[in-house]
Amino acid sequence: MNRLLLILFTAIFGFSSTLFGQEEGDTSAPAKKTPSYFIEGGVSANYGSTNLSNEFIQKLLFGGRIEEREKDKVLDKTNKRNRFGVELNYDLKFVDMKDTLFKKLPDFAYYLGFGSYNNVSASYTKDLFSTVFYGNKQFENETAKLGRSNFVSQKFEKITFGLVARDFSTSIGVSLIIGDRYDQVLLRKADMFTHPEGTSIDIDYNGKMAFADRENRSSFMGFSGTGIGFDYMTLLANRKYTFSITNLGFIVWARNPRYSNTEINYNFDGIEIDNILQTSNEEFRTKAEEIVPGLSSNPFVTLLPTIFRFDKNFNKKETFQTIYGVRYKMLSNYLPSVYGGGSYQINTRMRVAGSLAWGGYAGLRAQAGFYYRYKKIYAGVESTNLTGIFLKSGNGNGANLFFMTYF
Amino acid sequence: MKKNILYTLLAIALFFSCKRKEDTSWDVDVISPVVKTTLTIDDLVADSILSINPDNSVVLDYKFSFSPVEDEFFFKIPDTALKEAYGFPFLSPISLSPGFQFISDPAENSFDLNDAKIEYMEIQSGEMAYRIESEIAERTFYTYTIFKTKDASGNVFRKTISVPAGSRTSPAVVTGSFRLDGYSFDLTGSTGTKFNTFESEVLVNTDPSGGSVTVSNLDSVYVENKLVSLTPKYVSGYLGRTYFSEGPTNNKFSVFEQIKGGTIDIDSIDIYTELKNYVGAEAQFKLNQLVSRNSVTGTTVPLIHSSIGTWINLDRGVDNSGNISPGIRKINYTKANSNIDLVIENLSDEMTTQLEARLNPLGNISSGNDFLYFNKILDADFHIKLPLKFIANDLKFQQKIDLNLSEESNPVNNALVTIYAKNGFPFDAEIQLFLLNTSGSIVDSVMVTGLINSAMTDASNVVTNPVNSILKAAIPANKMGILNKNSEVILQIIFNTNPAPHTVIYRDYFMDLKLVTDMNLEIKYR
Repeated sequence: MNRLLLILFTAIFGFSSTLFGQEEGDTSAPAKKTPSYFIEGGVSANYGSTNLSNEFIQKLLFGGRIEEREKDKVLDKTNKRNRFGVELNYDLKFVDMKDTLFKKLPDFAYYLGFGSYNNVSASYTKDLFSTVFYGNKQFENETAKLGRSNFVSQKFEKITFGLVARDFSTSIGVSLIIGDRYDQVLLRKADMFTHPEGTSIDIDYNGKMAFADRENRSSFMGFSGTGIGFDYMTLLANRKYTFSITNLGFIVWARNPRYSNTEINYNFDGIEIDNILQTSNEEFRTKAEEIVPGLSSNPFVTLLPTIFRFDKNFNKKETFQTIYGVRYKMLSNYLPSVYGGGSYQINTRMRVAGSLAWGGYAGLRAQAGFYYRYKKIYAGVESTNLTGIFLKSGNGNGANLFFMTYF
Repeated sequence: MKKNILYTLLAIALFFSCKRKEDTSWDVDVISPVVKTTLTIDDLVADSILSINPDNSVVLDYKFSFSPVEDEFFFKIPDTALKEAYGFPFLSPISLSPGFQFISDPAENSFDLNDAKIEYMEIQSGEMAYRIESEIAERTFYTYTIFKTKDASGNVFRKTISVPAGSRTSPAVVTGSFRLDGYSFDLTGSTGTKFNTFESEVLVNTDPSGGSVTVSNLDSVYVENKLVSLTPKYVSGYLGRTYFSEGPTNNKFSVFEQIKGGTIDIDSIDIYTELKNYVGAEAQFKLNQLVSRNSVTGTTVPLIHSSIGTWINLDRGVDNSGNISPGIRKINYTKANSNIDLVIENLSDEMTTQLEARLNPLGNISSGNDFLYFNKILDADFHIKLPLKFIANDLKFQQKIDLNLSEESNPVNNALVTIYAKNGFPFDAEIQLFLLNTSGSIVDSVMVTGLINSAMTDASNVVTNPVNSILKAAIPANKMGILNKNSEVILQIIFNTNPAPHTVIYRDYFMDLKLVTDMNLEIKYR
């Protein structure tokens, strides 16, 4: 049973852990006693960037004044293309091993799950970074290339019903997706020329904007959009590897959506006021809004930020072993994140692991994990950006927490 | 390291709580156009006073009315008190049965209206206040009637008041009031030949459902009625001979209140006054003085005109079933018959007047057929036609404007504002901004370097081509701080035209303005 539990532990928390795969081994050996129910939960939070320092990101996320020296430091590390992202996901799952809903599938148990996925990400050019954090004055009589940049902010919850093989070799689930928030600004092309003395600004724009219900931005179960998602997990090569897909699906954003997909050339030479001696803030606001590309109120569909993972599983027979894998998240300005390292079983209860990773939102980083098993509880804590914890100049932070219990 | 661990934990905690410890902020340098606008004479002058000649030249056509004489001058009803004490002429106590009427007292009353002889009156507002004191040892009912009155439904004014039992040592006292709004009074008395007179009656009964009560000559009843604050809406009869004098009075004159200095030479002006008498009685009006005063320069210019100091007869108005045709007198003031141009060119903010008026100067020549509607008495309509054809020399115009800024709403730390002007008006304009503290006092200024140059003109000062100018104004952080505390500023513009000939303003003149800012501002979000 211990082996079974360990398999389950790693399988369940595969969604969040970027470090470790499942346990490799033979499932034919019978467990001493199979538990009736499993409850698992986990939280995964991380942020990172290819150019922003931790100090900078922390001020962006949690507040604080960003001084010139901090901007200058970041600018030195800013490349032609850059990334930044924040993720906060949490899951709770209940597995009923006792019951069989489908008599024709006696080898499968069912599970119910709930999850929340919160993601803010951006990819951007150096000019965009400079414009946002330094202003456009530096581009006087020059063109700032702001295009090929993308900003996405979305949050959704899911309620899942799924089936899991009793040997945990495969699971599949279908979810009702509840969309809370979706904001996207995609700049395919955005060339901004600031005329000398700032007398006018030319903008050559080709892009997309999509906003879900901005009036009702409930942070939980907001139903600004609704969709369907699928999860799938399988063990490969005699349980040596795990492959999983999480949140493959879509959301239809139909409540008060705002959407545009346009290409315009615009010369901005000031907000035109009818009578400056009798104007009002309201007139300024209205006239300023006319400059922004018109947004339609047609519903729009977005694909979910599907997570693909491939991990090497643990082999419980080996005290020290290698670990490696890859994680990719679609439509989230996310680079494939690859990791490789080792794991050491300290005793029957404790295990530690460490690895180097590259990709995702940050660059090269170190990761570490500590896992503990006591009676009917398994738990683990991981840092997905160890350098970020130790160094101010690090480019991200991340932590995963998980637990599992059975009865 | 501890700090970073803390931040990691904070990250998790704050993701859940979605709360931030403070705003995220940073400074950026932005150079951008902000506002552009085109000013025409339609923007500078309200439509209501703008008039265009066939040649497209502009005339200020300004009208205003005021009532130089208050209605109380013509007619006022004083508060009128009617007090009575009633006793019982019985040496020996007698018993009054339930419902017994023991007082019935008709009376004729009159209003003290000086020499006015009013026969009919309609009340706009007012009331009858009462105070009743009773020593009768049983509940009593007092009924008060004013004869020959009518409300909107034709009912006579009659009110009954219940007064509880009292005693000699502790009389019952009841006070209150009844509204008289909308009542009409026939003031000709019972015979129909009197004036200012009305008849009333007090009746007092014991309670019909009470018991018998014993009274003697030691018992009394005091009734006090008072007609208070009667404001008529219409009276007829003879209004009397009255005289009114006012002044000298300093009146605020707002037409030029935004002009704070310089001189203006106007080519022509045409002003006339229409005095309209809506009173159904002859009247006379005399303006003894009208002095224009510029409080900034201290210059005073008295109006010189044949009407000054002369009684002006005003015919009585004619009542056409409520529609009154006023008696009208028109007085013209022109450059030819007065010094009205100098009065106007003084750019006064104060007018001192001293006037007199008389009603019925010849007595009761209408045989008591005067009338007065109190919503329309005597109006003076002023009509000023001022062609915008002038010579301005350092004409200083100031206007208080609110930029609607505050520490919270204004992200700009400091700014250099550049004004690009394309001037199609035939005058120069120099701009300055004065900053005020919260008390409204000037504490600093923003110097605007440069001048909006006049458009190119021909020999007649008619615009041939607009001219471009660039002005710059630096607003450093300390001045921005003042603006954030009080965003009201005084915008001062000093105008100059060519010294000769008089410059005409045409409707198609314009000025394009564009504001470009080079600013350092704080981006902030929570």
